[in-house]
Amino acid sequence: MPPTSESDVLIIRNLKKRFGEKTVLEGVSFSVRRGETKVIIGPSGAGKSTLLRCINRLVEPDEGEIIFDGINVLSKDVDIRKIRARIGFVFQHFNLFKHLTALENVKIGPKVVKGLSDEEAERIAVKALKAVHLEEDAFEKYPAELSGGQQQRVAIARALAMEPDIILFDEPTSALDPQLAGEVLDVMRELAKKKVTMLVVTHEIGFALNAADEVLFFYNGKIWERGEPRELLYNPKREETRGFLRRIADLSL
Amino acid sequence: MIGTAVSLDVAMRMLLEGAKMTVILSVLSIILGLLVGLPVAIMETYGGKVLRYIAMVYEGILRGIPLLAIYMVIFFSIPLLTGIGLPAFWAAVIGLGIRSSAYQSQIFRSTIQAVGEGQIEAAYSLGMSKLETLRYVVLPQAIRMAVPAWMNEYVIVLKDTSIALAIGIVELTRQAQYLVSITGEPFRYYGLAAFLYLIMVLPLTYLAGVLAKKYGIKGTGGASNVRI
Ligand SMILES: Nc1ncnc2c1ncn2[C@@H]1O[C@H](COP(=O)(O)OP(=O)(O)OP(=O)(O)O)[C@@H](O)[C@H]1O
Ligand SMILES: [Mg+2]
Repeated sequence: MPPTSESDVLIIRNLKKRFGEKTVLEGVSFSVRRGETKVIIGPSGAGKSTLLRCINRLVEPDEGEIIFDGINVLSKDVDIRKIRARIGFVFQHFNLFKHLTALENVKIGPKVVKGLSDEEAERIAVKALKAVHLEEDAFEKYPAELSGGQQQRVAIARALAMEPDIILFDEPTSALDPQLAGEVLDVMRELAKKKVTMLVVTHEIGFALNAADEVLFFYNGKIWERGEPRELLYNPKREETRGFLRRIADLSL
Repeated sequence: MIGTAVSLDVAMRMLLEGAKMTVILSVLSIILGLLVGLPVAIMETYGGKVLRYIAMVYEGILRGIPLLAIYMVIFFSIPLLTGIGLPAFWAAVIGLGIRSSAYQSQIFRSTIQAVGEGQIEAAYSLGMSKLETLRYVVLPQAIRMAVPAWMNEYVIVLKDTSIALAIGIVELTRQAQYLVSITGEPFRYYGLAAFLYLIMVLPLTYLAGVLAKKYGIKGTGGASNVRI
């Protein structure tokens, strides 16, 4: 069991999840400190998305413990909505609300979930949109009128506007072409610098190298190998890690 | 009496009187259908097993019975069974309205189900409850997607008001029938009535396009017409 400390925002112990016959998470344990950026890499089907979705209980895990800011997330008495309001989630396909403008997408959380006034929600939303460098003329546009990079930045602003304790990212750039991915990664790097706590599933090795405090390599529902980014990415110990890194290096060449 | 001449002026006034009833009847019916149909659709998609079953049975029965039979039940049978009479006008509104509710619930059910899982997960991830998600994310999208099919349903309701003549409502077709019976000129008066129906329906078809553009969600296709 990993040591716990005051500064751990998120502690995951022995998390297990099966879908029918298929075991997707086979006892995963790690923790995320406040202000830390942790990156998860691993092949398709390794269980990375399932892990993130268990953390805010979009998926119910079968076994294990999730402690968020000292609260047992899996306890029956917990109001999961209160927890979710404090955990940002950024999706691969952005999932912006299609019927709302960029600004309204960011306002809706503070307004509906936190019950803030319209002016207060707007103030927070504008601040969040500026933090992700959304162009001002895009504030009133609908998601379908924005580029993928803009959409993902709005999605990040939507998470930021809730002032979460941690933001979970599930392959935030893999639906974007490299240039648009770049503008999203720049924003995420800035957040990392500002010590926003992040748990990021990504295949962007560059981001892992210069923004992550630790990298976890997921394989077959387990943390197969973990370490400081340079160590794990340049000098992996295990064969599967090497194979995976070789494959994504091939893809990006 | 057959063969009596009626001036075009008088005939038009009678037909327009009938058309007015047709419009009033159709507007009240479509609204009643909406007020009942939308909750039924929500029951079918969000309700527990029992609610879902009740809604399905409701929808199935009303879609399975001809409108004329629904009118007969409401106008003739219910007063016989309960002793409570219902003015023909309200019997017509209720009959047409609840029949439409069964079709409207089908329209809204399909657009509620068409709201992407990702939209719902995003709402839950912000901490919204099921009800808040329905109110702020699912319904606004589902209702906009429903606009084309809903306009189509309105056109159907408008045309089906003619069946209300069977319980004595004097609407457009009934007025034409009367004119034909006194003049013996079916081609002329049924033709005029048909023309008036077209005049009412064609702008609606155009309006449907405009509304779909205005209220449709940018970048999202509308609901396909679920009933021809
Ligand atoms: N709701 C579900 N029902 C059944 N099986 C599921 C469900 N969600 C995920 N799985 C399965 O669990 C396994 C792990 O899925 P998961 O999405 O967590 O992998 P991943 O590591 O995120 O992969 P990717 O890189 O492709 O996103 C896959 O085999 C997937 O098919
Ligand atoms: Mg995934």
